[in-house]
Amino acid sequence: MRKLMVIVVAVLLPLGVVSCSKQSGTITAAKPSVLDKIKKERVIRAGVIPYPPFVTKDPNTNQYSGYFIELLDEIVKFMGEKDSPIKIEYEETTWAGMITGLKNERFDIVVSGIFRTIPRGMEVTWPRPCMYVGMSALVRADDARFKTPEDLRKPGLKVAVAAGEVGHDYQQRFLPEANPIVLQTADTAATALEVSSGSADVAIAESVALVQYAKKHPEVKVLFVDKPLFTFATSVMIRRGDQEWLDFLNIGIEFMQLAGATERLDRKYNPEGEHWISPALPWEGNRTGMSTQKNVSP
Amino acid sequence: MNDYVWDWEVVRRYSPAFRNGTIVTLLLTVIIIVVGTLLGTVLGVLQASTRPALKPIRWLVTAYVELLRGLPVLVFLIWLHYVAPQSSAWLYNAIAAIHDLLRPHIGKLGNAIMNGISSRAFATAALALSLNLSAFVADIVRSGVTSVPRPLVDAAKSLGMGSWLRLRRVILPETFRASLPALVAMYITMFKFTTLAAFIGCSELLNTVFTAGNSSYRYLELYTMLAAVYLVVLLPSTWCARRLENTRWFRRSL
Repeated sequence: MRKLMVIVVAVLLPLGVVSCSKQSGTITAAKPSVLDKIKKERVIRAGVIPYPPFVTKDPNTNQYSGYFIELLDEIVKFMGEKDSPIKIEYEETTWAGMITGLKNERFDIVVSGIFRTIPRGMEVTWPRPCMYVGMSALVRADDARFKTPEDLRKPGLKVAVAAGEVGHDYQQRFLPEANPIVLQTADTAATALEVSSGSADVAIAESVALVQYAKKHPEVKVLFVDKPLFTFATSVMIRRGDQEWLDFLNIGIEFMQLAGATERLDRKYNPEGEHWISPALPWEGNRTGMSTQKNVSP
Repeated sequence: MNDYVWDWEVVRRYSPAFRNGTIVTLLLTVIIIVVGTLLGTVLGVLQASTRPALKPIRWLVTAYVELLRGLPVLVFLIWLHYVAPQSSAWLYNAIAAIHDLLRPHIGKLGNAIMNGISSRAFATAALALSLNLSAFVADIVRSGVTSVPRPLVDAAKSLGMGSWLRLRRVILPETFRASLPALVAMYITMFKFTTLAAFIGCSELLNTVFTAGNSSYRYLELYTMLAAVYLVVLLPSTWCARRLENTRWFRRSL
């Protein structure tokens, strides 16, 4: 037994010593901005999460495209001079790994359609939203039980959600009596598969994936698309504590919105206007279309 | 599953993805087998040695083997990918070094494959699974070395062979012949374990198919094809392994 203890200590000691020797991930005031680093090294290290059509990865070529990839390309075009352009190095990450990747400075930015939520906001930050994305419910095409969000509050209703996703949060807060099927997946459309296969009555998730899934699968339909269960401001994500980098991205996005680039991207990636609404420019009135359900409260 | 409408066209559309994913999976497997076997052999021989001077090293090796054999592979992989870079600089640097080492050598392969294996996730998966395999190989080699017949070793000694030569010419060949079935079984297991790399974002076969599902929303067709591809690779290898065990070269030692 004593021998075993010695072995365990011998293995753990070097690990522990090294862990203490590295400084923790917090940023001190003296630290130079990521922006300065990018100007010097001419490269942006971006974590990327496939989430069509915000970020689409072509599985045949492993190339990224999509709304935020193009938006960042546009911004970067204006950042570099002709003879020394700034390039973006993409590295794939996951919803579970993105915050860690930012904190240990592997990424300067995480590129995907990332919802600005309060729990995440305590760890990271975002520049201004590029769009507002709704949360909806997907049911079987012949299921007529759900007219309003209140109809979802049925004890024992089998609700498929993706762990940590906004639908999971909604189920826990508003449908506590449901019987949740919590999937450990990064792909929110997998919740729809549970309804297709008959394992769940309802899938609750952000509406973009659900709407696209339902288009390919006649056996299901999406509810509450025009009046979503909730709406999320959506943008790319960065470390907190770097005001200059945050300011820069805000300026970049604003510039692209004023230049009409985001309007072009909206037309390309959201042609039918069902996936999101984009923020109105100062001289535009309120956007019509979807609005959040106000009748659901905790 | 009554009214699901199957659409097999999607499998044809993503056939390059299946091909690239399979190549990345096989590359990952080869790296794991080579690194894991080399490292495991060294550790196994150290563990089996009886020299008193090597006692502290034997302890460390035993601790290493027990630690890695005890941890579920997925837990170790996730820990190495998410926690290690956060808590320990040398592990982070080790992974970055593997990453940099791989990068120049993969430029010749196709762009899609290169993107798949130039990621840090690939390097982390290669490291994690190699270390995991090395622990099992160490155990197999240790028991193989100790089971080499004593008279054989004595005969080699009486011929004037030094310990290094004895190890190289007598003990290790005998060990590998005796442990071959166990090793091949381990290799096939490691091939299956490469699927775990999908969960940290390494574009191997499973991850590529996840991505295809994510962009086509035709999961059932893609998952069915995925199972078929794994079987197509696995069945011949298990068959070859069985053939190998039936060869005269292998039976000679038993």
